[in-house]
Amino acid sequence: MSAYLIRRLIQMVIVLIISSMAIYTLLNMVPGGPFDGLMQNADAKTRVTPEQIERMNAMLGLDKPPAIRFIAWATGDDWMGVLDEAWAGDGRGIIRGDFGMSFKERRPVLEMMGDRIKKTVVITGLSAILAIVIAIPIGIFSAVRQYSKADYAVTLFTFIGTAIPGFWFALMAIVLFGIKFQDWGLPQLPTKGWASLRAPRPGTLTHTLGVTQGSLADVALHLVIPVVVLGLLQMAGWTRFMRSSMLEVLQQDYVRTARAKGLGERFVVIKHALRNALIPLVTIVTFELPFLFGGTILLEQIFSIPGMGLMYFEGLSQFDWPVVQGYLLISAVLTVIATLLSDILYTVVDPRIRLG
Amino acid sequence: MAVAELTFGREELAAAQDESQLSVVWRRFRRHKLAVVGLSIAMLLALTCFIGPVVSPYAANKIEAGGVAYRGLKKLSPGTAVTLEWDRGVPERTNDDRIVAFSTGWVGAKDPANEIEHRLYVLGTDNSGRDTLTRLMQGGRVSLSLALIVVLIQQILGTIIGAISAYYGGWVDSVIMRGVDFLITLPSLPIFMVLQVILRDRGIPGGSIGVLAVVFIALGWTGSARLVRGMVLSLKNQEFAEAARAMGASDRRIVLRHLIPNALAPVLVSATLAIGGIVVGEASLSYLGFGVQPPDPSWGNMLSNAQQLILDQPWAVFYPGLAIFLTSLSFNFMGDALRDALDPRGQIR
Repeated sequence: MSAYLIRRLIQMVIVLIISSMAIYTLLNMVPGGPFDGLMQNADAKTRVTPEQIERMNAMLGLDKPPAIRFIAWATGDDWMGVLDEAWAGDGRGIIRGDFGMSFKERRPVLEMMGDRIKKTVVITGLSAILAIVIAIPIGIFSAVRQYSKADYAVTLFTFIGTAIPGFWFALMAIVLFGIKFQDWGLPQLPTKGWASLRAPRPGTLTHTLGVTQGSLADVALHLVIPVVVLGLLQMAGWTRFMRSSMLEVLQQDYVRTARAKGLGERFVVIKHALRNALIPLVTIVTFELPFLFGGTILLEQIFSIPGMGLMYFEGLSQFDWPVVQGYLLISAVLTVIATLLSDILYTVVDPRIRLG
Repeated sequence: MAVAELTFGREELAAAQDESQLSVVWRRFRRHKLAVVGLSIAMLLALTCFIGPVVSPYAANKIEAGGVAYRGLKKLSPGTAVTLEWDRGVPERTNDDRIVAFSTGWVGAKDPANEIEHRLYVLGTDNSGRDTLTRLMQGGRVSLSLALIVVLIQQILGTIIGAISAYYGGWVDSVIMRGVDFLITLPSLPIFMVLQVILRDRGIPGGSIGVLAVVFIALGWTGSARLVRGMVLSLKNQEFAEAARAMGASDRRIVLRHLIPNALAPVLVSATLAIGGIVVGEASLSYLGFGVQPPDPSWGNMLSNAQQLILDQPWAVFYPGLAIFLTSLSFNFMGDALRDALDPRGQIR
């Protein structure tokens, strides 16, 4: 097991080095360096000339060969002196936790992420918990009652949930709870942002409940729609998984044996079948790890939640390359970790599987 | 059960044996209610999208309706009086409500009193007065043809790469699979967005279908490659492959004629399911402004356009999303049915 782990860890590091090189190269493929986008700004005041770009490139060390810049960027600039602080940050390099400075906000990317990752994790975490808590029992129920009306209903629901475009579902939720509720004279739920920006207007639920602006309750109210929307979307896929793996397990011989011993159906399902049926779900849920921290770009954009996804979207729209780079890198790290973790968890829930 | 099998007539048995694999699959596919629903929806959508813009009296990008957003009409039968509802977001036109008798279906008619041509917009117009239905159909053309082309190429590519990887094994396999591992670490939507920005900066129109297709193919072949690799790994040591080898068949022939056809069933299923995924992916990209660029319509950019006016015209958000949803749902239904129909363990009915 430990030999396997060491081998996997080494592979992981290699894949990560290649990924970070690829990401770095990708972002440096923009001709004339990452500032090229600034030349295309429609507004003449903010447009930059080629000479200015050349100066900026020299200032930021972008005129040095890419390989040297990559090493400085990855391992730290304090011993190389190639980069400007915008890319090098405090000069400790990516491997020592320095992701450079945001062009736009003039502060370390890592610090920016620190703010935003909390909000993202609250939303994705809560929705994942909501989804699991509902998906497991419904999946079991549906499998146990295979071909019943309830099972068909659940199956149809999971089909709809996996096919529905998440961003449209979110928009429809906004239309319903934010706009139609107002038309019908019902208290509106907040549909935008992390907390109220202004004192709540009459007619909104925030106002009706007398919640003070910026309080925990205010934030909680703002989270209701995003968390439920995201939770329902995830739940659909997970329910389907739970159902099919439960069906598979229920056909196994040892389940029949358990029934033949005279154990109650409930006991058989929960004590004997469930543990094995959870294996596929564990892998799927673990694979959601990158998204747990990376957030969903679409939903954060729709609900104006200042999380990781929105940070990436804004960074890309504003050519804030250190932010973009940092986000992509963290996503890659998380994906690799998630893959490893799901393999390890597999052996924990299913002792029959040996890694080697 | 046993009785039923015994009463199976000899002729019927012979007929079942003669029946080709394809017709067995088709028969099992047809039994799946949801599959038939899915196939019907998909055919209907495809026909509407490909024929619709030709028949439509409006052009997708042309500003009609005096640049004003109309609400779509709720009920419509030829010759009935209908109320034209003006958009409530444009206050200066709100008094213009009037009743017009339409003589034909959804093509407009003239208002005899004012000599103004009143036209009918079945699903209304967008904020610039462009006909929503025509734009939906035009956008659907782009989405559907993109998805079909991408799926076709990426599955073929993935199948061949996966088969080669498994058949040759050794360092070929290691290199290819590490490449796949690496591609999987790249988060797809963010990478799409970056690539679009980079291509746009290189003077290549990032929203052009060609570029979108190339990017989708470049990142999307890994799934089928893994699938086929797994299948071929177990197939390549089976007797029929060895027999082919013993008869002196070339590697190329063994892979293409013996191994890949046997591994094709799951690829077909994943390809069907992938179509819906690509339609949603394209819509997401276009929605975020990194896909098809306005004024060309796409279901995604129509949604983001409608979102900006969500307070005034909440209905406009509904249609493009519904189109994406129906497409994705219908292909999911079909994929699921195909999985059952192609499953060799399933009963031959």
